[in-house]
Amino acid sequence: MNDTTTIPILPVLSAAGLVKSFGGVVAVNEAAIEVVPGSITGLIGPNGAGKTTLFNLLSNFIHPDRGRVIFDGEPIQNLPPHEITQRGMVRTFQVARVLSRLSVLENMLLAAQQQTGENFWSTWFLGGRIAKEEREARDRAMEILASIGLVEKAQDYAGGLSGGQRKLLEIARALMTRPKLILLDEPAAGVNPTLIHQICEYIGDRNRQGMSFLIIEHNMDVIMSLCDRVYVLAEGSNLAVGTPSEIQTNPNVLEAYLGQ
Amino acid sequence: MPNLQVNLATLAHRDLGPLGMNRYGSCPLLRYDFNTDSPPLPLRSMVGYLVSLIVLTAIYALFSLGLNLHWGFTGLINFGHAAFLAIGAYTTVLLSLAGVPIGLAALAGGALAALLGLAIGVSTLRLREDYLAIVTIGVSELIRLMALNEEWLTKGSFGVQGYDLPLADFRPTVATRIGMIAILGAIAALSGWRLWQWMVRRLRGVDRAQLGQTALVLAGYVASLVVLFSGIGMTSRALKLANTLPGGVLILLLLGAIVAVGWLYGWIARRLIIPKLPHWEAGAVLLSTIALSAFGFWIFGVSAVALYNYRENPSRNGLMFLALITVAVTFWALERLVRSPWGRVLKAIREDEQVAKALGKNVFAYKLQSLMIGGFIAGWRGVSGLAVEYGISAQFRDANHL
Repeated sequence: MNDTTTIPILPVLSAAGLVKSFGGVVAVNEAAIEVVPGSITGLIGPNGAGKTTLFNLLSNFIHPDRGRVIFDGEPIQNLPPHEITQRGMVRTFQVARVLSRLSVLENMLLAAQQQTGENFWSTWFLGGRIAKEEREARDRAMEILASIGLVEKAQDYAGGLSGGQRKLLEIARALMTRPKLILLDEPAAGVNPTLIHQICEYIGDRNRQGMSFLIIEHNMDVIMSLCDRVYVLAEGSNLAVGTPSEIQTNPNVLEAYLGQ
Repeated sequence: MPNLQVNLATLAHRDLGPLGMNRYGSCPLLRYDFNTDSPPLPLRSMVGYLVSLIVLTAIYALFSLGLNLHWGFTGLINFGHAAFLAIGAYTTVLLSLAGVPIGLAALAGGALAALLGLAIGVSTLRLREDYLAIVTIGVSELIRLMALNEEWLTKGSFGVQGYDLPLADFRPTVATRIGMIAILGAIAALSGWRLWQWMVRRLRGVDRAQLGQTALVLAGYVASLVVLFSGIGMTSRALKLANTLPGGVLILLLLGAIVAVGWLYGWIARRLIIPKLPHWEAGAVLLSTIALSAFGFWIFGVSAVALYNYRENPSRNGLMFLALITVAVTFWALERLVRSPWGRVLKAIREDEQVAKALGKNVFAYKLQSLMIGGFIAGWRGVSGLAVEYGISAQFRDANHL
């Protein structure tokens, strides 16, 4: 991969030669992707192009047949998913998954990393430290919930949230892990236009504070307004890469989307 | 009173199955009244009977607490909890027969049950969740067959018998007995306080006067049901007597009237009054709190009487004391655990383990811990000598029906 980026810094995430087949179907075929720190990188492609599978390969929810994923300078393709999250790369799901019978606040608290209280023995002997960590995590969770507009719902069951609010909670929860990079799988899917606008603004805000994003999205307005670079995937392989305006005028991309 | 002792001793063993029924399907309490030459004091025999019932309840409570950690909090589908119970029970009893102190033997029982959890977990927890269900059924059946057939070790279907019950030789002074009663009292008070807190939480913001009205109507409704069913019972009894007794018709008419009144009041309450009541759930909360408190107070009274008359049946009363303490301690420990961040991870796994994984939790390790701790709880209740309750093979059979 020899891309045109002139910034001489290492990508926070780079993957190359990723292959995954299910039986005879090659879902991802020699795909490659790079995310520059502090950027919002988009990933688009027609239905069935393998975008979500590529996400699963990056976060190792599905183990790749071949290929290599480097995050923050270290190979992660053989790490279990939870360790990848612990290293600072967190993912969300295409259909928002919330923990229904836990409160919104509990959903947030769960996401905090390196909690002393999550160790069985510590729960017995380190009560004071756990209480202190819980207070801090709570404050931080309420802060994030306030910024994303869910603070009123903090004590409600997450199962009672609307589709759009679930998307917001997923993003908030991902932020709670203090990540270096967030992989968002269709943050605007099934969300009303007002809320889409709000989600986009929020992602933009966080990005200006230094957070990197990799976003799968079908909504072109979202991609065009947010992304610095866009990768196009078709039939499991890279089709094109460039700025949003370059992609929009790329004949290959138009062909992949609309047919000849 | 030797007769009473003998009867309670038989009651202590296999004769008393679940629900306090003996194998002939009748209640032992009634048998004392009718079959013994010198009837024991009704109060004493009732206390002995209730003490047995308390011990049984404690066994199943511990069983359920362990299972609830698996199913309720972690979402692990465990169909073979009886296997943990059996391993724990046999280990405890066999070790104590070999001369190991009961406390150590019970810990070993718990540890071995936890190891069984480890073995099951390591082999199945990384597969889809159905496999845990399949394997737990298989393992519990395996262990049941082993217990049944390895007669050199387990005495087969006879079950291991003739071991010492804990505290059987314990002869507490009055001060000690009062101390024991005080400990149970503290547990009862704590439970009552929690119940009270629950009620207060549920009744917040409900108008007092309306609540009183509602509770009264509901109490009347419940009373009408009691009248109705006992009336039906008495009527059917009277029907049998009516052939032989003169004036039986009158009795029948009277009882029929009772049934009719109970039914009519119940119908009116249910159809016309209850639906119009504001906050009828709040009334139900209030009523059930009162009923539970009264019941708990009664049970505490019974156990206090039993403990005060400790000599009447030392092993049984000691067993009850240890059992109640074990349940209380286990419950407290589990509550603390499931309210900790550790418990939050378990609940997250129950709700959606992909999310837990995506948020950096080692799902496999937590499932394994849950399986082992739930197993330990099923196994360690030997600490209170509960393993020895009515012969351990019989207990295992019963538990396997769950």
